[in-house]
Amino acid sequence: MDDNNLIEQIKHKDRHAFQLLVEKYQQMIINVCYGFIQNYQDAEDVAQEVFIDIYVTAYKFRADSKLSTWIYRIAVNKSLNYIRDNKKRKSSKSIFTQSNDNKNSIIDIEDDAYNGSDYLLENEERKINLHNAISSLPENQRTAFILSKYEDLSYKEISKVMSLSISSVESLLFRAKQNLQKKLFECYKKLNN
Amino acid sequence: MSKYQSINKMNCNSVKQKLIFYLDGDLAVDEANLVKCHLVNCGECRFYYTELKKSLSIIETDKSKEIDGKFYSKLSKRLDDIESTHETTSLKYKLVQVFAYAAVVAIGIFIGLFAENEINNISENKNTEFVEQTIVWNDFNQEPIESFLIAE
Ligand SMILES: [Zn+2]
Repeated sequence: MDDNNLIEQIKHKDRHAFQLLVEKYQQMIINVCYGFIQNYQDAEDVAQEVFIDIYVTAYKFRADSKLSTWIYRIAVNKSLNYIRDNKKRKSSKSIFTQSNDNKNSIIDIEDDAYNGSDYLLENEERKINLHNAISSLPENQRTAFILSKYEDLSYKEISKVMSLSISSVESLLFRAKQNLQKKLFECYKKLNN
Repeated sequence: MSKYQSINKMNCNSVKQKLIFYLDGDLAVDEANLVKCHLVNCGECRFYYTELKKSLSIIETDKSKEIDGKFYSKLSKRLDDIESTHETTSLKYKLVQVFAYAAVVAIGIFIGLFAENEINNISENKNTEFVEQTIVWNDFNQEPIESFLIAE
C-alpha cells in the first residue's frame, strides 16, 4: 500500500492502515523527536502524540504535498512545543528549588574524566556536550540541522518541511554548523589546555 | 613569534573554521585538499578534527537506537482511550442534542397552543370591534346628509 492509499484508509479510521503507517515511519519520527528532545523516553512519548495527531487529523492532509513532508512538519512542531512547555515548567520549578543543576550549560570536562581511563564517562560527556550544543542553536537552525543530520533530508526536502526557499535552508545549515562547531570547540579547548 | 608561525596560526584558524564543512563533504575539492594537507602537518588542527569527528559520530549512534518493541501496542491503547472518551463525549453530546431538540419542540407546542388561544381571543375581540364598527358605520350612514350635498 503506498502513502496515498494509507492515508486515505486512515481518514476512514482504518486501524490496520494506521499500523502500517506507524511501522513505516516510527523510526524516522522518533529520530526527529530525539534530535530535539535528546531523551529517548520523552522522544517516544512525543512521537506517539505525533501519530495520534496524524490519525485524528488525517482528513486535513491534502494530497498535493508528500505525506512524509506533512508528518515531518507535525513531528517538528510537536517537539518544539514540548521543549517550550518543558522550559516553562523548568523555569517555574527552579524559582522554588533554586536548582543548581548545570545540565543546560556546557559541561566542563575535567582531567579525571578525560584521561582515557573511563571511556563510558568520556562518551557520556561528549554526548551531553553535543546535545547541549545542538539545543543552543536557534530554533530554525536547529530544525534544519536535525532534519539534515538525523534524517539525511536533502535541502529541497527540508525547504518543503520548513516552508522556506532552498537558499534559506542552505544559509540556515551553514550558520547551524558554524555555531555548533564554535560551541564544541569551546569544550575541546578545555581538553587541549 | 616568527613569520612562519604567524602564517601557520592564521592557516590554523581558517582550517578550524572549515573542519565541520570538511567532515560533511561540503567543501570544493581544492579546498578540501588544502585542509587535508594541513591536517597531516598540524597536530593542533588534527586534534580538533578528531574531536569533532567523534562528537558528530554520536548522531549516528543516536539514530540507530532500537525502538521500544511495544511502541505500537502502547500507541494503539492510547488511541483506544481517546476514541472511547470521544465516543462517550459524543454520546453525551447526542443526548444533550436530543434533549435540546425535545425542549425546543415542547416550547414550540406550548407557544403554539398559547398562540392559538390568544388568536382565538383576538379574533373574538376583533369580531366585536367589527360589529361595533359596523354599527358606527351604520350610525354614520344613518346620519342625515347635509342639505347642500343634495342640492346638486
Ligand atoms: Zn593547524
